[in-house]
Amino acid sequence: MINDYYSNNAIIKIIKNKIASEDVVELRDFLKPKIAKKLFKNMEKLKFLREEKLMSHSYGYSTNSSVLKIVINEIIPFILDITTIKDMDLSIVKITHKDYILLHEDKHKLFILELTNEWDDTYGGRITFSDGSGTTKNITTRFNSFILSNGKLRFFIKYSHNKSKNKHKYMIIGRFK
Amino acid sequence: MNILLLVFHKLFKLKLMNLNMLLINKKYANPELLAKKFSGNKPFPYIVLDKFFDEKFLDKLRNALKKEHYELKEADLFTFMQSNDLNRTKNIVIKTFVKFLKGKEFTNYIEKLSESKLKIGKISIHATAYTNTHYLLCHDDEVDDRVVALMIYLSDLENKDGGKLRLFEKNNALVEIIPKFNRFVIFKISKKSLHDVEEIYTDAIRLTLGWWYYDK
Repeated sequence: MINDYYSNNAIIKIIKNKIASEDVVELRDFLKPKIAKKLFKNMEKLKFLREEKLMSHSYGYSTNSSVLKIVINEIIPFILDITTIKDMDLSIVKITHKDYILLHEDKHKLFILELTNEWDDTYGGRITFSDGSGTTKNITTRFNSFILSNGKLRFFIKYSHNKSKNKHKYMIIGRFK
Repeated sequence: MNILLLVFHKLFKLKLMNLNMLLINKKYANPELLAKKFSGNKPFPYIVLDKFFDEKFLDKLRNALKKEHYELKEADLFTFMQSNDLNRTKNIVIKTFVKFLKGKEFTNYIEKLSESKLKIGKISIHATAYTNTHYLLCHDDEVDDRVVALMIYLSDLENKDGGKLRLFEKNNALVEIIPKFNRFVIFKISKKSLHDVEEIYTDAIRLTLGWWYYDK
């Protein structure tokens, strides 16, 4: 299911080194194209519940088991080749107008799988990693992009403003220790 | 010649001081009368005073502020344009106003209105300009030893434009304040002073001068 390129031991080693030096790594075309498209279609059919906590986040979320099963069976073994996992919270997140995730104080290891194909970062909604002192790293939204962070940097998702009306951004987010 | 210059300088200074005393609308001259309303307002102490400053002066101030340098500020919490620190402005109109705000007379006025102890001579002050898609998400303003937050609106917005200042109790906006030219807003800072600036939905420009007083 994961693009064969990322199962190569030499590539895994490069990813490990990059994450050790930069904390965040972005792997493009992460899933095989057919699987990514299928997963995206599943996302569009899911029912999302709204969660709005003013001082923290606003988004739609789902914990659909068939989607998360794919993550558990395919993505977690891949992550285990790179780093350790003791405990993981998984959710499927839908970002639309007025949604955001603020910078959190807690530092977790994190992965984000982007499954959005009609998003423009000028709408907001972009993922940014920050060291808390003004140094930031912006991740451009790309369909089928996998972002892995080792937890030294914290992340936020920019408020999605009125230009994003009727558009949706889907992500599978895993926070882990 | 030097004596003449000195006399002129003193007269000019006196004129500025008199101007300062006249800056506030007479109907708001007694801060003690406003204090009760301020402290009784919900969800936390605040007050909105329309036509607060002398309109001619405020118009000059607005024109001066339009000439200041603004930079785009972006973080997880906000996107908007902000001026440089106006304590360091070279513009004489802004400089005079900042001096007035930092001075004993106006600081005491705000002390009485907000029933707080404020440090004279110390404020943080910036102008902000919000336009389409700009916003400030909910926060409490509790930074350093800030005591009260103050803002004077310098542009007129309509409900459809967005850009309202919203005061929250838990997850609910209990108060919504539409920016109007010469509308003055003060609120007391605490863990409860949750507020945001609603996103701007149109090409309207929301120009505001905002500042904070600090604990004595």
